Amino acid sequence: MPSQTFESYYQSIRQRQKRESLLWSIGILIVYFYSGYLSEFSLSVVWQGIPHFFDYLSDILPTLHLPVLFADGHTKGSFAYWGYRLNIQIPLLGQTIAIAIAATLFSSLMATFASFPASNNTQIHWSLRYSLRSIAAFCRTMPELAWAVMFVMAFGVGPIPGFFALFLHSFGCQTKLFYETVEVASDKPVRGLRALGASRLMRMRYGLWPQVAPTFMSYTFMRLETNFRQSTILGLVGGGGIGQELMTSIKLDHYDQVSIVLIQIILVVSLLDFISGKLRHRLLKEMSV
Amino acid sequence: MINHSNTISTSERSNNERQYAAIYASRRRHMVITFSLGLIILFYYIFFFYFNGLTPEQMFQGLDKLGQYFARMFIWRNVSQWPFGYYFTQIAVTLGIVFAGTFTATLLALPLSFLASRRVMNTFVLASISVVIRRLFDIMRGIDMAIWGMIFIRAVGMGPLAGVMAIFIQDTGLLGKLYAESHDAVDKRPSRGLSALGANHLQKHRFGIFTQSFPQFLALTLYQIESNTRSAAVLGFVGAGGIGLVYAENMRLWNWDVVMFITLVLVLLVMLMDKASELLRKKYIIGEDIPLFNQPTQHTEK
Repeated sequence: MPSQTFESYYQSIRQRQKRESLLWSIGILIVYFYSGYLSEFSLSVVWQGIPHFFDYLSDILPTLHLPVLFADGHTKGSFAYWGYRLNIQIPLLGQTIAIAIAATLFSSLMATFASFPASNNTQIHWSLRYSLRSIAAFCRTMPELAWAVMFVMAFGVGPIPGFFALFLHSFGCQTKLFYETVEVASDKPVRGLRALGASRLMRMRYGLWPQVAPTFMSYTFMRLETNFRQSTILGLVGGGGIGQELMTSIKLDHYDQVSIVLIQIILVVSLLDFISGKLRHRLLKEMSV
Repeated sequence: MINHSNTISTSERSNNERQYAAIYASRRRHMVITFSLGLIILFYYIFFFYFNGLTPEQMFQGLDKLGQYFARMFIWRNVSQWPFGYYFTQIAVTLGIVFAGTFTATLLALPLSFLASRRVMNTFVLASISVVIRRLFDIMRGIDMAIWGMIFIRAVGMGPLAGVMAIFIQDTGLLGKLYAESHDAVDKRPSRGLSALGANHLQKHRFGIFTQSFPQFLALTLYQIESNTRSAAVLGFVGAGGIGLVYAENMRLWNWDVVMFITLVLVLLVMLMDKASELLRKKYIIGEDIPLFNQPTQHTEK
């Protein structure tokens, strides 16, 4: 086709790409400005608010004086004075971690059982499939704080309502991730097993499960991080854990306590992040072998 | 494995065991590990419920109440008197918060992610800057959206703006980290080729790295918009605007039917967004083939 030179061909492709990117940019800008309008975004308020934000950040910094840094809890400016509520906060933090672990494990277990009937390649009747999927969609769309309010109203204040709230929310999320994993698994082993006369349950157990198990594990570790972060806010509505402490500190302006709780949360999140990253890395390595 | 145990005779089985000792040993080890893990988890739950547990009385009362709530969810009363205008405005405000927050976060996270990437920041001084930025991302991401919302309410007052700022801060941390990881995972060879052609650093990052990490960038942003739509509802609970306020109000008033209605609307909305992002994914993340010059037919046949 010598009718077209390379230059003109290149230009035509490039023109099309430019046109598309221009259209997208305009579209995104319109959505962006309209959503800014909806959410009452105004630069002047942000501009006035930024100093307040940094004021707040400097307010929550503890007052530490170098000479008395390691003095006892009654001297202002020492570490002990800053952390005088640590004996209350650390058990609460432990409770938060316990809620997160309990909710993650149980929701992953339940989602494992729910995901096989919910995926479209396990020859399960469509009515079961769609009802499981809509239950999962409902569970994950209802915000975890709404679940928490509901369970706190039913069971009273404490970590158990927090556990149920977090469990239902993450069950919804995990089920979706899990059945999507099952759906992309190869069906060759399943067909082989079918030819050997394996039952439907056996096909799932020996044909699909070995393919999806490592991915399920990796999603579970990821969920643990998310759940820990979300369980820190369950306390806002009475769901137990460190959130209660944090909210009282913010509302009552116990500035130095806000910073110490935030530091504890960040430390645990980073630690969990690190551990789960390492575990997932090992898992992926084992998978590729 | 598939054979029922009764179809193998005992002698055959012991014969098998001798022959494939390694397989049987690994299977036994696997069983032991699974069993002990199961026991540990069981004990964990027993302790968890033992220490935090409810009395059976509380449990039954609670279950009874829950049953009432769920029953009320499915019986919709006075539907004609519901303030639908208010509900849909609040849903629109939530969407506004999500888009404004996530887009702003994307705009900031993209340049920061290059500064956090190990691949880009490869000398000693630059690497230490990237460590600082990664720690900053950890701090932004480690604190939940609702807590950022409460902090921003102190700064900019109650209302959706605090929600935008909360999503903005949290997503800058999350997206920045994920973008940086996708920059680190690209193929090195295009960058080397570009440096052989005399490209400067900026050009190498733009054409050697970002061209490859762009699909990842788009996928992560789309996913984040979707997931924020779901989680932005918590912002309203702390006063940072949006649909969460409607949830909180109606739960206190025992209007469980409204709670159900709003959740269903949100489910539909998230499904629509899922479809839209699927279209975008097909077009830009999987991508279309651009036929090479002078061989258009060959490519389309393939």
